[in-house]
Amino acid sequence: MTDLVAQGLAEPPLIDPKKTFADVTADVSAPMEKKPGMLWKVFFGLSVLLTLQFFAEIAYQMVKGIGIWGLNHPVGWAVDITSFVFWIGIGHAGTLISAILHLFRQRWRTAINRSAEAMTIFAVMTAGLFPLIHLGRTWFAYWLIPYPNVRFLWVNFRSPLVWDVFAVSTYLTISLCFWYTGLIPDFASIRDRSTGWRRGIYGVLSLGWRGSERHWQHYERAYMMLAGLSTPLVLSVHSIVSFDFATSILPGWHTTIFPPYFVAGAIFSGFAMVVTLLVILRKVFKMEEYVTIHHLENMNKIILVTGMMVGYAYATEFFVAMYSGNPFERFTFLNRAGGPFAWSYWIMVTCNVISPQVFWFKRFRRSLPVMFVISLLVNVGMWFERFTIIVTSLHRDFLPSAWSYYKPTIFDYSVIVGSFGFFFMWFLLFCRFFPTISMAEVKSVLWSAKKTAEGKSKEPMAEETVHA
Amino acid sequence: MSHVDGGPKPPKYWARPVDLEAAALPENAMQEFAQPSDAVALDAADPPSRREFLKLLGAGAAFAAAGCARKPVEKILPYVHAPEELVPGVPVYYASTCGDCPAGCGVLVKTREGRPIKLEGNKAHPLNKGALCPRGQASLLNLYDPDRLQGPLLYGRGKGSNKPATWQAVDQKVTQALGEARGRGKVVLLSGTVTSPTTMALVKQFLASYPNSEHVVYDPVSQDALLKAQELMYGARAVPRYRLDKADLLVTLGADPLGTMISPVEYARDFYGRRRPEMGPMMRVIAIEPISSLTGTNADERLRVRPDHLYPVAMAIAHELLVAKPRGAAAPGGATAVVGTFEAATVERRAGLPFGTIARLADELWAARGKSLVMAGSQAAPAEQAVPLQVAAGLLNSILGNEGVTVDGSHPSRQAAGSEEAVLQLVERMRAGEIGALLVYGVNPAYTLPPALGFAEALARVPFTLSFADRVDETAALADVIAPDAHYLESWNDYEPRAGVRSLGQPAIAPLYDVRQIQDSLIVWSGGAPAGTSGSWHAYLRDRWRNDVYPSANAAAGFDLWWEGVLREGVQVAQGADSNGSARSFRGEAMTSLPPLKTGGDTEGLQLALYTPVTVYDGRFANNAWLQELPDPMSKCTWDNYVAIAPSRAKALGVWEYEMKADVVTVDVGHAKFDLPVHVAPGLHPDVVGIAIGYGRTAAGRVGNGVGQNAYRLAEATAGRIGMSGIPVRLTKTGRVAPLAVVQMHHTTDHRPIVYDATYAEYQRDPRAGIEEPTHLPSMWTPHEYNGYKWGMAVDLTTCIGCSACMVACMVENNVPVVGKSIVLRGREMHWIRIDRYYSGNADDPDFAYQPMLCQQCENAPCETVCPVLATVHSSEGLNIQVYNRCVGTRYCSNNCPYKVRRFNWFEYSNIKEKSLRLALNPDVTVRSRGVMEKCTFCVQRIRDGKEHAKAMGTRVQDGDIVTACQQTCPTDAIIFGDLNDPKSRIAQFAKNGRGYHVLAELNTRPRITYQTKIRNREGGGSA
Amino acid sequence: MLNPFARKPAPTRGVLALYDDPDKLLHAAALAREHGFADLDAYTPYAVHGLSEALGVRKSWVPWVTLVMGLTGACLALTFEIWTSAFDWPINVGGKPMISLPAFIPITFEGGVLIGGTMTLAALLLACGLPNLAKPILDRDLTNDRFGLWVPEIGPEWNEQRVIQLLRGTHAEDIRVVRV
Repeated sequence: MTDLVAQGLAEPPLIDPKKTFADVTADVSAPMEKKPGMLWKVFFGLSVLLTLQFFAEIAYQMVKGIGIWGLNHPVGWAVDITSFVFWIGIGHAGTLISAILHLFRQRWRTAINRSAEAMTIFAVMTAGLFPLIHLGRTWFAYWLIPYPNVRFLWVNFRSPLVWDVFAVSTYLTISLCFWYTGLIPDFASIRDRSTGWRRGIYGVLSLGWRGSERHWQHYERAYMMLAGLSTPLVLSVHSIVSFDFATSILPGWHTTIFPPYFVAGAIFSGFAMVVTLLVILRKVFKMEEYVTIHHLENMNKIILVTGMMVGYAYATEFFVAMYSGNPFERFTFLNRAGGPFAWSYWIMVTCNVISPQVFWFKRFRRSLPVMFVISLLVNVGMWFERFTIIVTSLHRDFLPSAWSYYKPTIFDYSVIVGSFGFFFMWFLLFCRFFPTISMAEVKSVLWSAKKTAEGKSKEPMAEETVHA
Repeated sequence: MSHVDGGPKPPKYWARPVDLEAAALPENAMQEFAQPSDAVALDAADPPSRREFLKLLGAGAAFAAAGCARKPVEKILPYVHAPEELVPGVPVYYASTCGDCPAGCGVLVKTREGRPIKLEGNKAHPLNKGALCPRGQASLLNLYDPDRLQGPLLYGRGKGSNKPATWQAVDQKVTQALGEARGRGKVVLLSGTVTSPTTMALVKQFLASYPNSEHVVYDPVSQDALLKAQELMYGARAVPRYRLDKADLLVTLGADPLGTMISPVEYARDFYGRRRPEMGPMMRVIAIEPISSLTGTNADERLRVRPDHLYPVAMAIAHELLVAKPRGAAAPGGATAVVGTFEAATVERRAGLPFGTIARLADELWAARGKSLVMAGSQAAPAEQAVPLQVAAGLLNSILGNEGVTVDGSHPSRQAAGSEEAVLQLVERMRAGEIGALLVYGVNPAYTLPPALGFAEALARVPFTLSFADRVDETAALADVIAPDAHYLESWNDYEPRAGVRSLGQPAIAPLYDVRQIQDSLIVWSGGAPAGTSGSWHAYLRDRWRNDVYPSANAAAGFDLWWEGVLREGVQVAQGADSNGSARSFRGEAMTSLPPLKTGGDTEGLQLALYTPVTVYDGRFANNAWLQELPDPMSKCTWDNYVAIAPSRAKALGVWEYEMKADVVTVDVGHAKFDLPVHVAPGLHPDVVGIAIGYGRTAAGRVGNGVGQNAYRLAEATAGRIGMSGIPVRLTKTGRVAPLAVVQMHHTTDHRPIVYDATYAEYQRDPRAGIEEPTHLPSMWTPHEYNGYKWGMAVDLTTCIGCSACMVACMVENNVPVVGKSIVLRGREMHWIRIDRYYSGNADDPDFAYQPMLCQQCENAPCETVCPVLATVHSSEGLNIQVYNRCVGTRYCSNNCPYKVRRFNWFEYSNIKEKSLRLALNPDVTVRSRGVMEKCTFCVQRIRDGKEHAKAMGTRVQDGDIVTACQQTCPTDAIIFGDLNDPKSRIAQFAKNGRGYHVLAELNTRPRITYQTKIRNREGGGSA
Repeated sequence: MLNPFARKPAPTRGVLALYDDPDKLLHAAALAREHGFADLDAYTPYAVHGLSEALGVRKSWVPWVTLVMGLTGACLALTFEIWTSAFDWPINVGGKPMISLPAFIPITFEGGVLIGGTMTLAALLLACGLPNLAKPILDRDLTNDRFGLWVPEIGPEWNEQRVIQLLRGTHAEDIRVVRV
């Protein structure tokens, strides 16, 4: 067995078989039971500060107007929608890892799905802010929801923005259901090992779960169903986000390959973000034994693949533009690569296409520093991908007379960093108060690991006794 | 004001039957409603002046107040019991005359509940025939200018008080001061051209009461050279009537008849009549000019020559006609002799014109003899050549037999009378202390005269100075007394811009402030009512018309009836005023004024060419935000003047213009220098530096102060002339970069399907020449039906001259906000209609194309599909409507608009701090709040109005009933609006005619605006 | 269990056997079942495979809820879109037909997923009778590292001693009688 592992023909154990079930519960609950460390406090304080300035910016903007941003006449969207798409993209890996890997019985997911799902939810929450604050009259944002009103006005179901409203809210809701369903048994475990008010709180959170087999098999099926629903949902959400652009007539936006291209990009950036987070998380909360290098390597492989998908999409776009012979298309893409915003285009290409190539080498795939840096680069690259698509297409479209340039203001930067603060604030809270790893699932993995370790010795006994 | 003194309330232009009823308002009716409306008045605007205003306008004012303060309806309930005369919400039109420049175009003042809100050209007026220029449109804002003086000042040259004085005090001071002046020396009235015969008469009477007093007339934008030349050639110092409508070939020598010369709207209207290919043989225009003027950029052929070569070129053409290739033309005596030295080859070599150009020009002119017209700019040539250039032009016209046909001296224009000599002498005599009192009216010499003259110092030696300025401008700041004249919309006046064309100016509103029009002041100061008049200026005016004009009109009606008729029409044209002219005899002695060709080499280096911008004109509009934000048609630059230089020259100097900013250079003419950003202007002669006058005001007001640099400082006074061109100038790079608020930063169509052009020849062969449009555009679904009205518009790129009057008209009509330089610099100007200007051909000498770009009202509107909240949808008449109240401001519509004609309210532009400015708002159009998208609506309020009117009449809207603001003011009829479902309508025909195409048709947005190809009247193929 | 609303008289006491190993549990469960004990249940920290078969628990009906509700959601969404855009207030938007079917598909799908997903969770809670904080916890380690077999008292022939006897041979760590 071990030599097979060495040859890489068999999966190495996802967890050290010597661990007991009790160890798992103890290790995972540990961060929730002791005082937070210095590192956590520093990170949390920082992200709270960023969040505060974020909301200060929003308040000022509500008073003064969108004009405080650098937007201008041709460029009606820039940082706002860029960040929206970016965070929605981040929000994809979570549910994807959980749902798709669950359906494909990829058991290595168990160590990472919980934090990934949490990331999804917080990323979507962050993303959700942007469509709101980018409005000229945010206080009327609820007009995008079809509700009966005295003017008998509904919404325009032909508008991708309305699709967004439905897609994103659905995605958030379903991800929450999925996440919470997964959490119930773990809350129960924590309830049963804690006392006092914590027992009370986790008791309520666990809804009184007792691990009855009759419940377990409803649970298993329901979880499967949610996974089944989430998988197409994940794909649909980012496709719909891409429709914002694909269904318009703007050269550079009006592109049929956007849905797959955006989904690949989303998975790409999502996994990168998970890697970024886990590399820190496993260190800070001593989870190395659960989130092993093997897990991370698997994700790096996915980053490599999706990275190349994205790269392929860039190439296709360019080729189609040139091949189509459409002067507007041609110009737009030449303008991307060589125009005033070429810098952002080449940042995008370097970070998204070139940098992941190092993952061809096992050494780098398994090296924490390398994967950390790469994952950061990928996130930068993916932010600029959206920026490139949005701004370079807008600033020079059909009539040269209307062409212009876009210069961000201090407030644009403020919302960018602010959104990161907001996201990390939630994530750090999650690490403190929720089980960051799905105990129940890890235990099942642990059991099979033990089995594999002990070899076939145990089974026959079990078998015959059953038939006896 | 007359109707206060119990004179008859001004009758108004007969617009609708309902208006007829609104005859004179009985006094008691006014009193009755003055009281309740006062309550509103207090928070409406500055109490004292406004309450005055209310008393005068009675109930109407209640609405004005309510309108601008947006008071709840209850406030004006008393009005329910109002007299039927004034119908709330129904505009009242007064016929009047635009008084902000001497052109004197007829206007209809649209008033709503007592306040003027829009100016429209008066169709009945023979000069502008219903059109207005951008300045005329914007002059409404001068009325509401918050920087106007609120009353007379005993200013004491700055030492006196800034608080408004009483008119009694002023009258005392003035009569006393003038009395003293009698002894001290001359009493001089310094004014711009006054086209009002009655005012001139009054001035004469006034001055008559002072020994050796004088009236000096001076125009900063001067036609003196032309006048002088006319005097030399024909004995009469008067501008002839130039008849572009009779010209097959127009050759301009540095003249800009379509832009700012004498009577631009009149010329433009005559011009377009000969330029629309559908309407008979097309006029050909050849512009010979140093800088690219509005006329030049619309010419079929442009020849770039330095200012000092204009005269030689003109003479060389004459030489070609008379000597080189004699055609037996009847030339004035001695002509052949003077032109002798001007061989074509030499001149061509010096002027850098291709060999044979002059011969060709001569042939073309000769071929069109009697039907051609040569116009020369009075300030385009160096001072010493200004008059000779004009004489040369006159000579050509007379050789070609244009005299009496296209140049009509028998109906002279009164629109320019200023004499540079006179003003220069005046300054000398002021310095010599010969002037006892100086009254300044309508001009601003302290700002417009070259500082080298030292007007200010000279003025210090004049014991008493009075200014009639409506603000403490550069000159008024040096005056003892400022007696602010009323705005022309508050004044009675008459105008005679052309002999026999007499129009009246009647107040559309009582003075907003405690101001008094100059004529009333003069009457008072000349010891009350002059002989044979009954007191007020209004009476004086009526009497003069009764005695001088009425008899000649030989009207059947009695005077009062006739007078009211004239007021309604706004203009009275004497018999034969429009008849053809007769040739005048050319005086041989004029030849002596023509110097021979300069021997020896030319002066090297750069030459200055100061030009008059179509926006702020000579600077009198500097405080007019509408015009400051109006992009210059050629440069597309707002809120600034700049150093225009040719690309090749810019490269040589190592300076350039970047997006929204440009390198700053030092302009140095020796006696003056200043720093200004450059503008790289293709089409300029590489040796020429073009700078606009009218900027750099220091006392214009909050808007105009410190905008740009005062280019008058570069002008030079030599030999009794003020030179604006050909002055040697040095440019040095400063290394600094300054912001330049341009609204268009890319200047070619990049071979995109935006502007199509063709030559006249090509057009005659195939009307669709030049158009490359997809013939078949497949669609996924069947288009919607439009069975009722189907509104559409046609824009003719051939006749559009880019004057930008439509842009201002649109701003006035639709309450489009002015955002200011800093916001324009961020690319957020708000114009609903813009004029795109594209260059084609080679960069040094390009072709120009102007293209009005506004909402195309696409039937498959991309903006509508993407709006999440249905804030922009399609009406049953095919309008792309924008529901401001529903808009949440996603800006998605703008992103998805291929024409980028939507405008977003980035900040709260609608809360206007200055209350007086609120009065200019059009109550029929919503004021958009922050965070809302806005755009052209085809003037939907006018469409509604027209439909309701038709409904009341029980008919369908007739073609021409509904006129959009841009169409209404267009001097060249380039914009046509109407119902596409009405086969007889003009729009239907235009949409069908051969030249029609759609911008970006391949996108299949199915625009409702049909553009007409630009036809250039020249040989060979057109360049797209 | 097909009818979640069927209420049986809840057993008042039963025997709980604790194991440290899921295999032992499986074995014991099978044994107990062979000996005809009904309504068996087990409490485990995680879902042990084969347990429901061993205990003879019927398959869950939750997936049906997902399917039905998903389809319902989709239909509702589409109907709503068509009604508002083409019937309640038809407006010409961008020259598109009143019923622009392609444009209505995304929300149709989302509607299906939304209703389907939320209803699945609801069904799960309903099926498990959650939330239910009242029920006592039989043993704290059952959510940690112990696997418990629960043989409730059903019918008169149920004999405490017999159950304990039976389970003695299944390497149970502990066997206790619990009153609930």
